Amino acid sequence: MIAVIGLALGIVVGLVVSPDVPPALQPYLPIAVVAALDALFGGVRAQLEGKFNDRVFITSFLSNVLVAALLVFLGDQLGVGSQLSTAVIVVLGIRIFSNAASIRRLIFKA
Amino acid sequence: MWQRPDASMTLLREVTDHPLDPAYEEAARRREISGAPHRTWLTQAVVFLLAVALGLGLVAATQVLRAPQSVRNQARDVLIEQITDRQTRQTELMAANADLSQQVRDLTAEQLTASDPAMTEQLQRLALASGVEAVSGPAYVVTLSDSAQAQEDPTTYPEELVQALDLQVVVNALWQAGAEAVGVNGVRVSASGAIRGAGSALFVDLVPVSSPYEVVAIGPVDAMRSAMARSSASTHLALLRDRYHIGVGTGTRQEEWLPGVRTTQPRFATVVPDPADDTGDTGQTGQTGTSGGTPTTEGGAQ
Repeated sequence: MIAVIGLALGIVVGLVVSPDVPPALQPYLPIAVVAALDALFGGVRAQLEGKFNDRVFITSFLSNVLVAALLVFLGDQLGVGSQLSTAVIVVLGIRIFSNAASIRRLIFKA
Repeated sequence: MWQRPDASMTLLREVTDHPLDPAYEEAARRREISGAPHRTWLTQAVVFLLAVALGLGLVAATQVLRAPQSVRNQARDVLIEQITDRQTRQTELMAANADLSQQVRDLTAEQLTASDPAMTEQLQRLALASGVEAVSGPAYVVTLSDSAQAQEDPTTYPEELVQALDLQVVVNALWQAGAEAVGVNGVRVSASGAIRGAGSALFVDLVPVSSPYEVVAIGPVDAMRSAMARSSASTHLALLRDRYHIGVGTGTRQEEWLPGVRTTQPRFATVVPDPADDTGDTGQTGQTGTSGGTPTTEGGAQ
């Protein structure tokens, strides 16, 4: 619960302050946001299944974002940046979809 | 050993069957075994702070991603501003340049009318022929414009754009027809200035011009019209109009004004110091060399 409150607080603070992101990080933002979405959906599903865990949520969130950014960075260095981004997006997209489907099943029982 | 029929698709199955992080399952199992985990206020605080930081980062990232259009626009605005600034400056400098060369000509004429009237007369004649002097008079006008579909989509119909060659043909035909001064879109064409194409842009005496191109020829209008009709340029224009849909128009003007040529810098000739004259006079005669030195061959607009 405390993680969700913290996340909400962070979002509110971010909306109010609107901090600047250093330009060097900007190429990694889209994929980091998708990774964060994946972690969020995973957290919601875990909550509905009664398995939610603050620490797991935070670590999965953090590692998802970092690993996604790292993959993009590696891909850029190797010259396959866009292909690797596509791969990450596809995997994360499938996960988001099936998590969303589970959430739907859990909420509507259908 | 039993094998699943979709054994070759382990990766896909893995992704679709277990989208939930295995960590959640594991944590749930651990809790079942050892009861609720012991939590200190420190771990709680760390989790809380990390969550705040992540939320903050998420919002920051989203906002940056939503805003790039405006950032790009800002950069473009700055560039546009710089271009306009430089263009204004260029116009100012060109005006100042024209002003100064006019002064030079006036002073030259002033000095020479007293000392050498014959030279003044020759200078004026040469200035007219070489295009140094701004002139006005009745004019015959040929207008060329890119075809309608080429104006909308120049990359698909590049052959329907007016080319440098088309302008060259028209200008040369006008010289042949007896034009005394020719200008394209207000830029004077002289023997020393070329009509060139660079990519999709056309340059007259290094000044960029764009469609519609208005070729103005000052001279005997009726003679020019009939000479143009008989020249090979008229077949060229007909071809442009019929096959390439390029807009071709002709007309006459009672009074048209053309500026002098932009540059009158001799490219090969250098001023010869005259040993007979004293130093005060040399400066003046040296400057007359500028306008007199321009070749007066007509029809050299290639």
